[in-house]
This record gives sequence, structure tokens and C-alpha cells, in this order.
Amino acid sequence: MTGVLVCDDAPDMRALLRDALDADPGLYVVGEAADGAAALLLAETLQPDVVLLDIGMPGPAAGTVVTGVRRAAPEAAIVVLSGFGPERLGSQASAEVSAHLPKTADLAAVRRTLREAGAR
Amino acid sequence: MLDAFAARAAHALGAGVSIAGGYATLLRESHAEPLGAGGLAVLGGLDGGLDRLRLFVDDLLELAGLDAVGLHREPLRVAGAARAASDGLAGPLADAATEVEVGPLPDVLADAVLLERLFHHVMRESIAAIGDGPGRVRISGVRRSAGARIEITDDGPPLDRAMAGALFEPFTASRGAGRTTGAGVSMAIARRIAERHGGSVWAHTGRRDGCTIVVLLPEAS
Repeated sequence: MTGVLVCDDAPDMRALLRDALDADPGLYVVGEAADGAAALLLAETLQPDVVLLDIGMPGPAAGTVVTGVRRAAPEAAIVVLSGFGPERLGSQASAEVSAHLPKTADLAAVRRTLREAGAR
Repeated sequence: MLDAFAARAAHALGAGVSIAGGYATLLRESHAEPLGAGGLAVLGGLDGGLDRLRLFVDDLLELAGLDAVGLHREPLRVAGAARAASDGLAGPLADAATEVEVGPLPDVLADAVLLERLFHHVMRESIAAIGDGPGRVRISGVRRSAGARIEITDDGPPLDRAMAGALFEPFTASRGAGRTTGAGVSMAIARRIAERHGGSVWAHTGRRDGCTIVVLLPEAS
């Protein structure tokens, strides 16, 4: 089972992802963060297998959050799910991201990507 | 200003589309039996509408983010990018009963990802114009003193000459109204990609039918 930390500032998006991941036998939600600071704190505390990250959240800049998550949870895969493309991250942060999905990606793609990221 | 609005609208719409599509998926997965065939057919209709919205949103996001995307120029075979774009549009091409023919093409100095996106958007416009088809898209090119001249020609309805300039403006004009039209920014994206490479793009129409998009890009030395 792959434990996922869901990070998105939209409560309805987090609710959807929680429902969708909990309905998948290979995935479960270990925690939820609504901003960049909470994502960093929970990544360190919960040590998830995968951090599912919106890079448009309030708080520290997106690149700072990604590199911070890498330091806080060295073994976690980072999957970005966002309307913003990779250009929002610097090259150093981009290198830390396992997969970058558009916000409009369908649930099947999100789940498949999370399972694959967790299996690495 | 327009880009900022497009980005803002796309982010708001994108979240809504994701949530609506996600719950439609969960409904299908968890409640298929009580929904029955009729209910699932209704969900299928919802999926079709959401697919159109997704395309619209993704177009807006691509347009809004285009200038911020890094440009990694390298010598490239244009045919590879054209075929990759064609493969990515296999479904819409089949729906439009349209074949793509890739002829001889010169090598260019370009960003591989952006060059494929250029072909993707020009071909989407062709598919939208061809409609139900059948149709044909031909991609060919030659070396010129000004650079590599690439032509993408389709046999859809002729391009209205009065619309030739507006074709490359975002949200203004499209040759068709098919599913691949999206936000109506395909040709604007194609132009920006060409210009970011120091190239240019323009359109001209045939005597009776069709349209040719000409792309001029720096040639690989």
C-alpha cells in the first residue's frame, strides 16, 4: 500500500482526492495539507511514500516547497498535480519531481501515477 | 492582460473540471449497479462534455504558460516531431477519417517538445476544419535561404481570405467547430512557438479547397 500526503489548498479538491485514493486498494491518504508550510511539516512528521503536491498553494514558493519536501522526507516520491507547468519550478526542484500531472488529469491517471511513484 | 485572464480562468475552470470529472468516475465505480445502463449512458454524456472542457482549460494553460517554458534548442528531424504529434492525435484523426502524410523535411534547430506542440496545434486546426472527413493532411518542407520552410496542408474547406490574419489571434477565429477546436488558441500557440524560435508562420488558401500553414524555422547547420 502506498501512503499519500495530499497537498492542495482547495478543500473540495482534497475531499475528492481523499475519496478517490481511499477507494483504490493500493493507495491510502496519510494526511492533508492546505498550504506549503503545512506540506513541509506533515512531510517530515508523516514520512509518506508519496507527496501529491499542488504547486499553486499559499505559502513558500513552489520550488522552495519541493526542495523542502525532499529534505523533510528523503524517501518520498513527489508527484505534482497542478494547473501550473514545470516552468513554475526551478531546475533543481524539477529534478526532484517524479511526475508532473495537469490539474485536469483524470482519476485513473492520478491513481496510476501515484502507484508507480510509490513502487519505486 | 489577456494571458493573465486566461491563466486565472483556466485555473478556476481546471479545478471545477477535475472535481466534476473525479466524482463522475467515483459514481461509475461505486454505484454502477443502481445507476443501470441508462444512468451510465448519462454519465458517458457528462464525460464527453468534460473532455471538451478539459481541452479548453489545457489550451488556456498552455497559452498562458508558453512564454515561461524554457527553450532547449537542438538539431532535430522535423519528421519525428510531426509523426509524434500525429500519433498523439490518433483518436481525433480517426474520428475525422483523416490520414496524415509526412513527406521529405529538412532538419531544424528547435526545442523538441515545443516543435511537437506546434505540429499538434496546427493539425488540430486542420482536423477541426475537416470535420467528419474524410480528409488528408500533408506535411512537407524544403530548405530556403531564410531557413527551413515547412508546409502543413489540409484538404478541408478553403480558408476565408479575410480571416487569414485573424487565424493566429487567440480566441478570434477557427476554421471549424469540431471537438479539437478547444479554446480556439491553437494557431496563436503555433505562432508563439515559431516566434520563440526566431521563426514565423502564416497561412494561405488553395484555389478551391484546403489551407496551407507555412512555418519558417531556423535550419540545423
